[in-house]
Amino acid sequence: MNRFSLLVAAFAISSCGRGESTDGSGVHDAGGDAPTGHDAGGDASTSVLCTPCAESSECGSAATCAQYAGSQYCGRPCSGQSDCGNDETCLPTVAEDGAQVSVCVPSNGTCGENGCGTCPAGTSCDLAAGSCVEAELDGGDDGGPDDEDDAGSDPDGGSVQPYVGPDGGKVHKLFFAIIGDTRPPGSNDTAHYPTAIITKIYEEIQAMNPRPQFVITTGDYMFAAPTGAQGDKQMKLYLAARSHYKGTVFAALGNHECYNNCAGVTDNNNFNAFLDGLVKPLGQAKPYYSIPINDIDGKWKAKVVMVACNAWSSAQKTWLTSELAKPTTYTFIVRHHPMGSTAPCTDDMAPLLKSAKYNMLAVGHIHKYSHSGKQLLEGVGGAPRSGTFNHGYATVRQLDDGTLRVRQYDYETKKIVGSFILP
Amino acid sequence: MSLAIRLEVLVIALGAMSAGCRDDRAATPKAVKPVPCAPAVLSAKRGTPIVDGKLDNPVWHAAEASTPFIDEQRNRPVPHTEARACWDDGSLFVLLYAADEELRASDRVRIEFDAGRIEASPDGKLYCRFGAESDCAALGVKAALDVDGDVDATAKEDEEWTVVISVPWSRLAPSGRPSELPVSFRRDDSLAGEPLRTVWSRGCGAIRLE
Repeated sequence: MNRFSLLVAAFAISSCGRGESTDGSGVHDAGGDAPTGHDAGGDASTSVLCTPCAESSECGSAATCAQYAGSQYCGRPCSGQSDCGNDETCLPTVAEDGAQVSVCVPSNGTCGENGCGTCPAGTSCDLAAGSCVEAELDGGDDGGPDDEDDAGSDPDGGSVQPYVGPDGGKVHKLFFAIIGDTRPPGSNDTAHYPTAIITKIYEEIQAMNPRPQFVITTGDYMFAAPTGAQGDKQMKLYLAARSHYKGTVFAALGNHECYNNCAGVTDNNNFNAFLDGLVKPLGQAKPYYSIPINDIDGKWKAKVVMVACNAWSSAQKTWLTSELAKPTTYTFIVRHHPMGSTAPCTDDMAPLLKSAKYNMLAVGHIHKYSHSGKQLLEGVGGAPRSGTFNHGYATVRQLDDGTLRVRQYDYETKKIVGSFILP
Repeated sequence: MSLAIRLEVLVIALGAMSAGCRDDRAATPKAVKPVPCAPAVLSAKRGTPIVDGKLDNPVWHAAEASTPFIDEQRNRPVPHTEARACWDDGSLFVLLYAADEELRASDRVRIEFDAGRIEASPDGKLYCRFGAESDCAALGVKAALDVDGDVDATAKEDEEWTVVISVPWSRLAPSGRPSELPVSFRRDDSLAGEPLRTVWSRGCGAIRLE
């Protein structure tokens, strides 16, 4: 991406009247009234329920295209349960445009052949994801697996205890969190580092019951000149905020920790701050590494593959090719740049991603939350958000049937604002 | 995002592009929803930044950041926008930061004072209106942008743009520099093609000079 500076002088155009703009010859008026939300009232019938949709315009004026029962359907907005029918639930979920909405959905989380159907005993229906999940421990919060042994406790002497440390570990079921992009708005703008947001996110993850076994971060912990001292200062602020989570954090390299390609580079202060603060404490010598996490009973194996796009080299490519070829039940690839963006690794990685078997590609770089196919974009960890999702974080949970469920949380409300099953 | 490619473009005296006044709203009146005022004050410290559009000037690091702009009508998270301000004996300086994943020439940020208003777009255009005067150069208004992205290149990823604007006190307050200056900030953008307007104070904010 190009960044350019443009000095403008004496470029003038007339406009008409305070509070308005001129016509298309210059200053625009973005349509007069601002867009408004869908009318929660109205007299819409229940006929829109479970009508598949891609956009809200397909749902009529009194309904919204939103996620529930595992897909996107039209739903009537609601402000409480009293707005919905007897067999419906007023569900906070996500509209097709990313906005947070509440809509009436079928209480059984089922639309035709999609959704929960009849859930087995001991499970309940996740109405948004449309899948049966184990009963939650803490009254509807994610909570993670109901197996509290997986709460990230330390190893205990001779017996094998569920634990994930810097070298990986063993658990009963995977449950981890993902945070992305925690940099301030401007270069060297350490005074406006988003410490409060990052701190709250890590505090919330620490407070989850059970606690996620580990955390993955997708890069960009700083915004600083790589020749100056601010990158190190920002890294210290980040580490202080991160310290509110007591588990292990596996960090991916972002472009702001380097700016170009730091493979073999030793004099980039940002890169060095990243290595010293986030990589070496894990016992890793390189910015790319793979972490094994396996079933404590030996039924499945997983690996978390941390790729350093901005320290790309033929050696890393060879390593990545080898890592991806190792057979594991679950493979989570983490890098900073989403598919389709440009970075030192992207051209080389494209064919690898095409041929490799993996479950999820976790990325950041863009300061929003979204998902497409196997890619989870998690970039709302504190950097200036560019979409309509608030700052927050995601969790990934291995369900009883082996599928992986992702949930996105709003860090202010602590509510789930997105949920989907990885394909 | 990468800062590797930085293109410095100087545009001077591109001249006036006067447009005839047309009151669209008078022709097609619209029902306007009353929106609640959100009183806010942005503190401005004394300081003279370089008007280069960049946020990495120490003056801006020391400046207070405004509360994030909010959707004009809806209660929902919106792309981050914030303002910062500082001043010296000659001018008021305002920085507007807009996180933007799709930069368009039609995007705007607007600063509105009692004496007049200024708008800027990420393609480098600047619009002024103070009384009958609309020539920014004649008004002494200067602006500079720092753009991380490619305007109107939808295939490429964008991240943000920043504009720094300086306005002479002689235009803002001819009778003398006040301790507090009423101001409105507004951003017009689009989100997946949908018009999006975010504001700071809904018309009842002020910059307080420290």
